[in-house]
Amino acid sequence: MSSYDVLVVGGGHAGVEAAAAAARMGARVALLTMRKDTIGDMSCNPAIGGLGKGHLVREIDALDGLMAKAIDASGIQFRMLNRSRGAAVHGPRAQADRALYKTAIHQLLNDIPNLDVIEALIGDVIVSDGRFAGLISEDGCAYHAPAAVLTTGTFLGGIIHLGDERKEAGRFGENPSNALSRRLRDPALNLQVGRLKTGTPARLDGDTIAWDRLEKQYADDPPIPFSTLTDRITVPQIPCGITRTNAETHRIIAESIHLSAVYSGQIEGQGPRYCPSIEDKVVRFKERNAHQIFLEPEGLNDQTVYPNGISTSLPRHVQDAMIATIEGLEHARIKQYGYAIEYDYIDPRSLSRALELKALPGLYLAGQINGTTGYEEAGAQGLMAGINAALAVGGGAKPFILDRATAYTGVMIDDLITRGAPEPYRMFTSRAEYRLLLRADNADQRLTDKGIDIGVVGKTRREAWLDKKQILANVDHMLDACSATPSKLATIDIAASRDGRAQTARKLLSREGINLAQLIPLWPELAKIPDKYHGQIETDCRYAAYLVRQKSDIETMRKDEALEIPANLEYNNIGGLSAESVDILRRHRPETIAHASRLAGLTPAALLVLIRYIHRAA
Amino acid sequence: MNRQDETIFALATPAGRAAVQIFRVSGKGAARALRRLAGRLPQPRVMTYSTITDIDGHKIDVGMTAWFPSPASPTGEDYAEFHLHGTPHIGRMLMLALEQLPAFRLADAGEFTRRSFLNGKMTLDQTEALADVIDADTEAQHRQAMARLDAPLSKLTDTWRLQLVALMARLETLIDFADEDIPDDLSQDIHHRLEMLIANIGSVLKDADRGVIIRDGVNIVLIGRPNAGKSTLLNALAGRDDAIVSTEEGTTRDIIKVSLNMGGYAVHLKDTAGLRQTQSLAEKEGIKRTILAAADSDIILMLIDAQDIENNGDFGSHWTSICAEAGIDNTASKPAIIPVLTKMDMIADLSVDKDWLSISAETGLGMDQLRMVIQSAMDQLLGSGEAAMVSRERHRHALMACQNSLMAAKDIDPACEPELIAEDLRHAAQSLGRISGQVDVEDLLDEIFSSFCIGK
Repeated sequence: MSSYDVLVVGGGHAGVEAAAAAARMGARVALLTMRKDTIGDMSCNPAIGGLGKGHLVREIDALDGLMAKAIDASGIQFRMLNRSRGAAVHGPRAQADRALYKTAIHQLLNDIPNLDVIEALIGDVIVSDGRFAGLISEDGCAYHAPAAVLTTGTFLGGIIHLGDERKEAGRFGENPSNALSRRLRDPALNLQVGRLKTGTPARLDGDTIAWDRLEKQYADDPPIPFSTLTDRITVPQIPCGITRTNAETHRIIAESIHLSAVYSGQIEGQGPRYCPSIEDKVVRFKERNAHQIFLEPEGLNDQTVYPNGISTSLPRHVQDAMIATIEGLEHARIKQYGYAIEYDYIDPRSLSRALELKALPGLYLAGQINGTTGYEEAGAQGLMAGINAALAVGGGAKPFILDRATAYTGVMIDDLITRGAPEPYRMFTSRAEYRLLLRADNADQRLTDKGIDIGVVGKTRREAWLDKKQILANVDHMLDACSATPSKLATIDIAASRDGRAQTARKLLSREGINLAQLIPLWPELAKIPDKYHGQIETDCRYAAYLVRQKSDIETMRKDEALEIPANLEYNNIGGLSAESVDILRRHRPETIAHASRLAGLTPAALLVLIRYIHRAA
Repeated sequence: MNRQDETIFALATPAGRAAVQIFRVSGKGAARALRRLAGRLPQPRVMTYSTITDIDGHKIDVGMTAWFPSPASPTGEDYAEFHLHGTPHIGRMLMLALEQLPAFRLADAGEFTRRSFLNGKMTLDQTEALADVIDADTEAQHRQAMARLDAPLSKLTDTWRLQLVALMARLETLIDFADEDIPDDLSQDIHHRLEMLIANIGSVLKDADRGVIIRDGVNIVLIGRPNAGKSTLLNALAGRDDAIVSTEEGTTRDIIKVSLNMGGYAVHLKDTAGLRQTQSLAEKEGIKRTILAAADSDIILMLIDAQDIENNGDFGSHWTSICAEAGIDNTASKPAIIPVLTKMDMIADLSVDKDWLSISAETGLGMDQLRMVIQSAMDQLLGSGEAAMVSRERHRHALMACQNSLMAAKDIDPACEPELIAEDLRHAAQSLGRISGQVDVEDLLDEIFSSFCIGK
């Protein structure tokens, strides 16, 4: 028998962030995984970031997590999506060398002293006095701890589908976790367990692809790192190829559609609409005669290629035939066939804002078990669950909660616990109503101080951040102090209004097309601002007018967020609530009025009644 | 007990003697009221002949009762009506009886409507329209309010919201799926949809002024030199002695307002202090108010004493100087200015310009003609056709805010700063949501229900 503060089940992206965060906060942590060597594996596409997702990675970094550092050490093609657009919608993304990524994660974990990694297949949960008390492995070994984070990914009751082949597995060639799946369905735990599915394409042998005939996509030069602690990217950057499906590909798919596991009715789980299989694309968008495919190398020394855009669960022979119709892939050899995987998830509406199961205090969930997809979504949840598990162990500490105006991480968790995950949940920038504020370039400004307060940020980052904060404070002062008359502005070719009024640097930067570098001849002191902060400062000025408007929205939201609804509230006793509203409220048990206001189906009138009731009760 | 859980009742017809008086009862106890006071629960939604007694079984009256079980009732709750003979005594007896039932109380002002709103029987917009139907004193107000009750503005705003959602969805696609295969012409499509929506909302907004005037009434302001006969004309038009009439100059120092129905429109006639140079502080203040009233008017009746013209025949200079002193821009299209020569009975003969209306409020000379001119000015101002969709200032504000956000969005290039367009569109959606009561509910309800006086 071993005793820890926090147990983490699973060594994927959620698991490693959870374990590392709890350990950074001083908890004694055990990371329990089936196989040590698969820790840090990228099960699906070899890439980190993207729109919304890149924001999450920067937030993980701002709280001193691992993902940004790991991708900076392993990225082989960095690209800033939406580069030509405003900073709020810039999406940092990088393709990874799988092996390098995994090595980086292993190294980062090794550097943490109070973290044990143990190989164990967990099959049972110990409950004592209605609280979580420990875990038992399938071979009978007990691990006691007051808190645990479950990050089971696709392993919980995992079933792989490939045509009519059907196999219990957590990933290709890896065993699922079935005993734990059965345990979590125990009615006594009162959890809503559902099924989701996701899919992955075939992997190709890069040596058999006709690269010279294909369009290429190159990395940005210079590549922009994810972590604020990375000065520059030293991994060599390589291009990926672009090709397309064609009418012949679509004909083969259409003819064999009944053989696809998804279309034969073999799969019950709901798949993501935003990440359709190639079967879905062909069936739903009949008018399209081509679909784009990115051929992403999985590593510098790995000839495996990930064809992004054609995930499938068609039988092997159809996959062979389909791939052979595609330009450049005529002779491509499939190294591993694509498949769909179904797995258990727990309705995240059963979680608190701290990602703790309301029905079983002490047990936290993060990642795909909460109905999300994506490494970044998993990592951000893992980080938050790890922090909260460690805080709870300390006893009495208030949970660490990020609201919708503070972080994408907060938006995601709020969405999950409010609306559940009727389909696998993925982050988009459009989910954030305060998008102009929650930028990938200011994650540290939003979060690092908070992280320092709760002790999740290490010394190196703390010092780096405090330096940067000082610089930004000085800049803030300079922007208002530097001001010039229209005639002076004319000397640097900036047109100004003819009313003769002086303009500040801040005001000038709010105008479209004016940047900091242009202003340096007028105010040499601005030259002291490090180049890497220019974009961020310019954006703050450009968005200023919009941010003022958002501020009042945010205040309203925070007011509602502060109105807490008692956990044991008897909705039946509140007059004026329709039966339907009572039903919705009972099912969701919202923690705050803000939370209630976002529940689907709850009318403004019902909300009003609830607000009145709480005001009266308070 | 929570007030929401109590059963409310109120007299639904005007108090006093009448052929019939109707009491409404809403809440969990409605069925109990019928069983106890009418002897039984009638078949739902069938008017039923009943003997009405107090709770001790003493007969109060014979009348009709009706029973509407929840949710198919006017308030969404259990609901009953008692139709009795219209005498105050019978009414008091029934109220006494109702009051003795457990958890029964007299309804607050607007409470029946409030409950129907809370139970989803009406949208906020319909609730307001209903208030307007009930408050409508003139045909134009009634026509407009009924039109909105049938086709509430929220139906239109719901359509716009859908259009806005479609637009926003395209924009978000442009942003969030930048790395995917999206149509090249999406930016143009967004721009096109934005222009369509602006045009749609614009056409309704153009009408909004008209709607607000019909609902709130046409402001007609009488201005002129002291003793030009403004108060006399006001009284003649209103048919009563609201303004003090005297022949001493400068009597009217405050604005005197009379509200009346003229040809189907609600009209506020305003008598003002006469314009002249003066040392009197009180009179100066009066003149200041005249200027304000003129600025806020829809129609101005500019009164000139025919005797002044007789003594000094220059119409033009009278007209110009009065306009200048009242701060009226006589070249603007609004307010409409109707020049009126008064006291025609006081002069022997005057060869007046045909465009000038000549009246004598004393003898009634020219009064019919003046009424016709005012009527046609109002018809021109308000149109006589379709009812305007927007008749509340609050709705107009929300639509304007929405429109402004859309216009701001239109000026931004979707290819460069789609995130700023998205921000403007989010605000547009929020503004639109205010009309059917989906945002800022708390503030709105307080205002609406405090100015609401129906159901009792």
